[in-house]
Amino acid sequence: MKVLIMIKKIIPSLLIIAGVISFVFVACAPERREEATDLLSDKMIADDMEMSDQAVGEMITSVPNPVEMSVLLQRSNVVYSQELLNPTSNISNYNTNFERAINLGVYGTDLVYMNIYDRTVATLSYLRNVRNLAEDLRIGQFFDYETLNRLSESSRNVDSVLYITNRGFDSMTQYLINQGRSSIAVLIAYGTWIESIHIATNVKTMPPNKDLIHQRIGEQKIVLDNILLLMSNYRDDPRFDELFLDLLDLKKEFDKVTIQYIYAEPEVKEVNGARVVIDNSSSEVFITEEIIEGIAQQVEYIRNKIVE
Amino acid sequence: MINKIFYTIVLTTLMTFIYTFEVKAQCGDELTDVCHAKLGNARFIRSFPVQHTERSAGSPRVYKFEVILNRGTTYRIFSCNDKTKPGQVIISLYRGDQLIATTYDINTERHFPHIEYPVGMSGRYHLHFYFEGDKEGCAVGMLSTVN
Repeated sequence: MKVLIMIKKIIPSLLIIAGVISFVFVACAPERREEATDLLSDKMIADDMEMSDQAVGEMITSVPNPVEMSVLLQRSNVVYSQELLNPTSNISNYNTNFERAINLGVYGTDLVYMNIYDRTVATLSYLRNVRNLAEDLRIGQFFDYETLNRLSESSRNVDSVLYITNRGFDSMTQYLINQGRSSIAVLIAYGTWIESIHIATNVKTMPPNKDLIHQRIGEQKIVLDNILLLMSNYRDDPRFDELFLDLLDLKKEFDKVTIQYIYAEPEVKEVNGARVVIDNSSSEVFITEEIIEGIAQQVEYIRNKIVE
Repeated sequence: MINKIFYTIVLTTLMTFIYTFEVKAQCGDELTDVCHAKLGNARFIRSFPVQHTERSAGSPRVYKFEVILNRGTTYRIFSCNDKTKPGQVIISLYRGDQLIATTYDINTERHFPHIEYPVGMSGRYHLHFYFEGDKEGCAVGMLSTVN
């Protein structure tokens, strides 16, 4: 009985302590930038959606993360170009959740590009921007800023930094979709992809790797079709509609790219206990300098719109 | 009355506090880290966390994800299972309707640790995840590239 009375007495004190701790956590959180000026109501958009959140979740993974493109550029001995990246000071321009989501993708791509080129120490301001934008969008819990900040002190940790960054973006995307906020996930993917193509079409390339990079740019024709499909879901919102129409103009340029496919049955063999596929099919991309130029110009137009 | 209001406020704050931390502890997060340790010489590209609850009827649920694979790149696809759950995940790689490879051989009932795929044809592929026997499970699929 005495114990029960004691517990009864202690509970209110514990609750007060917990309340104070919660308050301290909230109060000590990094200073937040101003509140979003838009109400990007995911639920409102979701009501009119043609694609279910599940369908968006199945397709959004087809938008490549920037690792593969950045690795291709680095292995092709393309020189690093800091001036191509979105200046960190631009973050003050992003006052709506719409702008924040797109530029979270843009800065995420810049972060990966810098890391692939071992510019880990210089990434700190980009890390901060990614964290701030993610927090503004209420998905900051998936971005392990403290660990990344610590790992970024040495270029030996590049692989870990890339892993934690990409895992964070994967988790953010999945969480947003599970929460019915797929429009934000799509905007992040959009920004990620545009920035990736912007970098690839603007770096100085030299033969023989120039063709390889141009081919990879040409292959983005397939990705663009998927992004158009994802974006079309939210066209009731005029801001999405504008991005969609810009992408349609980009599609006109990509339509000039020809991809030839030769299909053949694959073979599968067992090597050291694993399944190894021998792909007897092949594809070839036909793309000219003029087409690359046309794509670059339209990407530039879109990119300037979203980062400024 | 004032006491009631006070405790309601404190409890609400406490619940918000707990919830903030709970969303971090998703099934996939720890598993993804475990899986990452298995990468070896491969480079991490994307993770696919899949959580499945056993169902009493119907055909097994398949979790699908679309990926774009690039010609000239060798991909390694593998998964890690939550050992506390009975279900073991099976991954199948499709190009359109064509099955390219799977981590499970139905004839021998054997699981393979990974699929290695040097891509000859760039394009859309699909990863299908399902749990053997439709048992409850939690797994993370990994898409990585090999040098």
